[in-house]
Amino acid sequence: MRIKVFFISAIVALGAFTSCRESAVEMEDPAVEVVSELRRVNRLSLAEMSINKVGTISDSGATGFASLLNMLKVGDRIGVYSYHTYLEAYMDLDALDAADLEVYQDRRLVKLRLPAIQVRLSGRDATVTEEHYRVTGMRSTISPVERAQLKELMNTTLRQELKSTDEYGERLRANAREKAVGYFSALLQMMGYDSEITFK
Amino acid sequence: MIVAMKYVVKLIIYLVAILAIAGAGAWLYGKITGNPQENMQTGQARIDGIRQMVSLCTLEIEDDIALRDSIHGKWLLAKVRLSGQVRFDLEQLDCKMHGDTLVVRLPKETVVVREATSPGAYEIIDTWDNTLLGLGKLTTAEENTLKRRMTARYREEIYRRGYVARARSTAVATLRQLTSALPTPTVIVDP
Repeated sequence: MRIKVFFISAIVALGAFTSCRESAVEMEDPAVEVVSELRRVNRLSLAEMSINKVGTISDSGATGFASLLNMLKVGDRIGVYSYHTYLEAYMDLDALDAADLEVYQDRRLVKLRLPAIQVRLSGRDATVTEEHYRVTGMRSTISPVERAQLKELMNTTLRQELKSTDEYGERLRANAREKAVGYFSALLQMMGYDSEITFK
Repeated sequence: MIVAMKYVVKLIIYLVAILAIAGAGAWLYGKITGNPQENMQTGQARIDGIRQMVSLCTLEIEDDIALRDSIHGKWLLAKVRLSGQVRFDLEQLDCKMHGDTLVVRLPKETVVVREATSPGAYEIIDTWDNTLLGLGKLTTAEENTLKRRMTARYREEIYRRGYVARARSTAVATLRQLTSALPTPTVIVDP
């Protein structure tokens, strides 16, 4: 019993090293009207994916009435921009309880069942990278408002892509599982125990 | 002959006038009814890299802030939704035995500040140029400079509001509580 308490404490303490325990509000819920919000979380991040998205402001690819209008204008106008969005794989340590740990003292073996890996969008770069810029003739320069509109469009399409396929999430979860298994098994090895680590 | 030439010149003037009116009308129509995103295209998202970590996030802050700043006489007023996180890298944990006591040092925190990904996280309210001619628009580099300043100010604000200190002290207190069951006496140090 004593050794079990020890392991639970050790894993939660050294693995989590945390403090705060409060229900996390889903960051991505558009229905949540946020002005200023402070929340305590108990989240162990295991992998982060950097996703690059490229967007173009250009006459050549214009559709609808804009394409007709562009024919009347003198000069070219093209700008290519990119930025990174971050996808994070994590486990909620609040979901880890005593029943998830079994210690076989005689075999020097620990069976650990970790919380399921979850994936969320953790933010994006505030800045954008200007990959290409060419404005000639009598065309107006590309304004900050247009760049902001392009970024909004890129964000919308990225979210649609992420919704339509789990390819990104699955790849990230695989990396996170690998890291979690590596970290916790090394921790237990350091204490002289073999381990069998699974996920809920 | 002169009469014919006059007729041709008149015709050209009329044609130019009609074209100009048609052009102006089309421009106005486009301005009123056109979707500004018709000139915009986006490419397929590409994975740039995956970074593995064991990082504990203890505190998360989300704020709508007003960005009002200038560079080279050009001003920007925008509403930005920022997300801040206080994290601890658990791979950098420093655990040492001093006699029969385990001493664990809380690692240096990392404050991550990013723009949120929720719709409308970056909305420009106004831009203007206070220089002599007042015709300049913010370039990408100038806008990025303003945003970097904003991010740096927000990071300082997180420290100033005491969020980091709160995250650290709570982490230490909880760690003490969690390690109290350890058979080895443990001391948590917050350097």
